[in-house]
Amino acid sequence: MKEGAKPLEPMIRGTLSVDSPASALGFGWLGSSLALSGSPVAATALSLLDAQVLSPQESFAMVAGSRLGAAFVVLLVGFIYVIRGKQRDVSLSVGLLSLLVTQTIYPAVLALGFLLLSTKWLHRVQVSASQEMNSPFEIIFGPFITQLQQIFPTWIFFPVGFLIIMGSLWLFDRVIPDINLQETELGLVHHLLYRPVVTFALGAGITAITMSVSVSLSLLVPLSVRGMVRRENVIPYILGANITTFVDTLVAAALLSNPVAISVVLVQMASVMIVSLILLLTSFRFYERTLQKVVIFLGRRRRRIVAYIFLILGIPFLLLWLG
Amino acid sequence: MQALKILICTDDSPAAELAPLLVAGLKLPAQTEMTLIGVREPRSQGMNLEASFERIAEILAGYSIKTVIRQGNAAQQIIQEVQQEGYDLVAIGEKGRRRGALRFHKGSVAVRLAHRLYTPLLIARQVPHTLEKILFSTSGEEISLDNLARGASFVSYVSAEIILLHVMSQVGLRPPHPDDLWYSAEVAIQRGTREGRHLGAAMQRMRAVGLTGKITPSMRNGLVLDEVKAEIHERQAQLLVIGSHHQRNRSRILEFLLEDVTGELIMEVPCSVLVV
Repeated sequence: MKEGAKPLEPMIRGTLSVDSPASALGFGWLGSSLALSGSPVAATALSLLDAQVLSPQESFAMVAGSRLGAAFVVLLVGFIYVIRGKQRDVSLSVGLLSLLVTQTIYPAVLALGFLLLSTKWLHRVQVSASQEMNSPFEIIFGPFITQLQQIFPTWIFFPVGFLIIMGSLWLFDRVIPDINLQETELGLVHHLLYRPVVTFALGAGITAITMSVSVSLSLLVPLSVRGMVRRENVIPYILGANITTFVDTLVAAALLSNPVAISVVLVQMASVMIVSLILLLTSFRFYERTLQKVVIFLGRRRRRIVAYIFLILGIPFLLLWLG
Repeated sequence: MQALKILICTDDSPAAELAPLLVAGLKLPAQTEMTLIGVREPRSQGMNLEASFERIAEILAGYSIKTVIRQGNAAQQIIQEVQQEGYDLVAIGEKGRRRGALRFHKGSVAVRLAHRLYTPLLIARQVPHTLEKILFSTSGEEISLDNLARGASFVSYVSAEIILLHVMSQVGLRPPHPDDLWYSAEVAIQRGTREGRHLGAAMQRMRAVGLTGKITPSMRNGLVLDEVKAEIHERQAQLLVIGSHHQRNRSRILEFLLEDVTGELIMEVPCSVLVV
């Protein structure tokens, strides 16, 4: 992808007008909404950074956009059931909550992230090396790519690389065992870890292992008397999961052997963590109630859901146009 | 049947006299032993416990009354008294729920007692002339049945309407979801769902300890804290009965990790609370 990204700079900067953090945010948002996954788009952002097509700020914004778009996927699954006539609010509540949590914290995350990127503190924590760092993947695949570049146009490596990343992540999800525990009464377990800060830590911890918010959310299911997730768990869990869901993106950055890419991801994780912790410790109940009310409001009428979906799909186009 | 032993706490404040008013409203048997306790704290001045005891004795006319005065930290001394003498119920009056920044101050004696006592605790607020509506909140678990029975035994002497509430806060991650997640209490009982069976068993246990008043089962969907508060508001409940967060043989670490809906309800509801 990195090789394929360089000749795409005129298209990305010119045709798609991705030439500012706002447009990069919209690009990442739209990309992950269409790809139905955030991780390949985040990896793309880092590749574009490494190829110097995007600046660190633009890459950061595109990674943030990838999370905003990825949260849409959970809602989409629920919406399909709405169309099939299933109870609206039941089908959509978790998807809507997931989306709303991400959308409400990310303005603050973006602001904090840009601040961290612009301060000298970031430069102090960058990895420095006395010699160029060579990714083992570059050593292994470099000659192979060089041979292919003689046959195919360079730009084709970008979509092919994207597809390879998507396939790799899909394969990774398949390899992780399906840990859907049966409904069971686990004694005190279904009361355990239900304080917001503790559930937040649980979400972060489990998602760090599974690297997928949807998989890790499923593990909450047995932690409930009825074998289903409790409303009180969902929001802090998603807040925690939103941090460690970047672990695979961090790995992608490390593989690029680009310290700036690693910093971009670390700033993203740190910003989400700081904003989430401030929220949890200062105004969580108010936040929780407000989001629940919004979910109930949106879930009551199908046209409200449709309008909301059009809105969240329209915002990235607007960002691309305005940016 | 052994006579109940009730410990009523006073600090000579106006709020303190809410506790004996509520205890009197429970219409407990005449042989119930009432002990009044006052604690002189190091920084408290002008506290006339003896006068307070006299006022309370007038409210509880007809019951045998003993008085105890201790020195030191109020919560600690009350807990020691309970541990030494073994009471069936501790009653304390409180001004009202804390609002705004005061909600973060968990220093009230009532709240500290709720976190430390194994004995049922009655927190008196806004005491009505007559107890007409009592809300029992159940988590739907096996242990709740014992809590409900214990709470029912204290209110079985009044002919109040009982509302038995279970809040369904569960949601499904992925559709399709079972429809019974949204049943009303009556339908749930009729169809024998998990929650319906629990409510049915709870009503039987409550009747078994002598509750004769009307019991109305209720199920709500939403955040537990908000739904209990909404039910109290809608039904105009005057007393909330809930299970205690503090359990025997449970470590402090575990108690920290476990949810504390009880503690949050004590802080937020406007009515009196019986923690069992």
